[in-house]
Amino acid sequence: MTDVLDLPDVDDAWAWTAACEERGWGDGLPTVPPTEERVAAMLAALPPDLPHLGPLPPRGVTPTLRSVAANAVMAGCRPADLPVVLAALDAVQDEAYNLHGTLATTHPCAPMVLVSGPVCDALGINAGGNCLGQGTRANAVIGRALSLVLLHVGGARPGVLDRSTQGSPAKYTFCFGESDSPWESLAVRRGFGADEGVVSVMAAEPPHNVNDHGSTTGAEILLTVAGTMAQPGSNNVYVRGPHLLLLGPEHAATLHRDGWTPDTIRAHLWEHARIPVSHVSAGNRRQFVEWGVEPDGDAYTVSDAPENLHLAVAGGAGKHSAWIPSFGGTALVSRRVP
Amino acid sequence: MRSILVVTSSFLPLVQAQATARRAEPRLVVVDHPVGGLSPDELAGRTETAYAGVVAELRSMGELS
Amino acid sequence: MRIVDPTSGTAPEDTVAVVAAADGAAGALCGLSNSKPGAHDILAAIGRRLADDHGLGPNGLEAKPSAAVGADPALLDHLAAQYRLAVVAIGD
Repeated sequence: MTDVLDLPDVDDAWAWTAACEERGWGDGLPTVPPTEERVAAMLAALPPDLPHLGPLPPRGVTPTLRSVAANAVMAGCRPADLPVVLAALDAVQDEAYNLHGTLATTHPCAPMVLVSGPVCDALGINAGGNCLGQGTRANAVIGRALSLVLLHVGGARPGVLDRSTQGSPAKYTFCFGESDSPWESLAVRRGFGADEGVVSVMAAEPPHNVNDHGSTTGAEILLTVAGTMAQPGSNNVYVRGPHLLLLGPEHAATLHRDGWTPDTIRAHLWEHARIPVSHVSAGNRRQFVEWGVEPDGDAYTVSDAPENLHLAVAGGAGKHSAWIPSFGGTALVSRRVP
Repeated sequence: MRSILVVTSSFLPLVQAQATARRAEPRLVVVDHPVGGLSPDELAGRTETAYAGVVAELRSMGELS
Repeated sequence: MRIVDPTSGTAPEDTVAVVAAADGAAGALCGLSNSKPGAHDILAAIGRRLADDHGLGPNGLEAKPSAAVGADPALLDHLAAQYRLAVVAIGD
């Protein structure tokens, strides 16, 4: 069966965009036509030892390298970006990530792609100022390519198989780099070498900002972080599962100066990020019980163990950090970039 | 094992697409969306619809006379 | 102009059937809830009324451990071995 389509007027941007709309392709933004020549250029640059790709839910179709490359072209990727896309695609196929559930859910989760290691500099992946925002091609296109593969091959079309109640802007693209940290990087703490390129994926909500300009000690900053995490509308409260604290470098520096480490930070937040029972409705408390979640004394914990809070550093100058809750029924999964 | 799926109207497209992907033809009973967050009276209405649909399906399957 | 179809790939394999109940299945019908609020209540009521109105039973009621994850295949096999029929609540 051929995977080649002969479409007229593809070289006309408006006609191509209209053709995509007719077929239900794309995320609403214009795409680059995946001509055979562009796809071939993508594939020609691939290294050996590529991950094995399995069937993508909900549709159950197994992508080929050509179809992944076609989506990468559509997203605006350069050939050098494709290995990162493939690593991320491999990671979301880990059973623990729960791809089917994360794509079909009413929750607004998106496939977050955190990239660590020298590959960030090599590809220009932004781990600094506005790394979670617009303005950097690599961040924009790598996350977008993954979303397009899940849309086109997996079939996670909004309103049909993607049943998100409101969705989120992160569903367009959610990719950023891990910056230099006063501690070992997240990837190294997860067992990878400092010289390896690593992607870590998680079905995540968009970042929740933690603004703290006034605190002057690590303990004070963590008080603000704990307060931000202690909100009753998070999936993590009752579905449990992973969440990520993305410290801005200035907050991280203060914490490091005061002797905090990733392990002591998450142990502290486990104890202090608590949701008072009085902040949870009676109906929700009943539902939490059905899911096996009871308060610890007069408050609920955020997730079910301190180890479920992951920690990384990214961002530029300023007194902001971010807490990134997840779908809950997912995992932070890391893969080496081939 | 023979089965009947109770789905809400909002999720019918998802179920149908999943069934197509799996080349399955499930017996479906559709109720109004949602079934969560309802008052007892509202939930009773959904239950009535679902029960009537399940009985009809069981009759068509020869499980009920 | 020729493009590579971005939806292309290898089609899924046929669905694998679960284990069928033996003639001496312990139960007639089992409800399987997706663990979302309301689903359990509806299935429980259906089971009760089928027993009361039509004498269909015994009926069971199970649930996925979480609405966020798929049903464990072992649970499906267990139910398929125990019951002839299932009413499944999915999607709310």
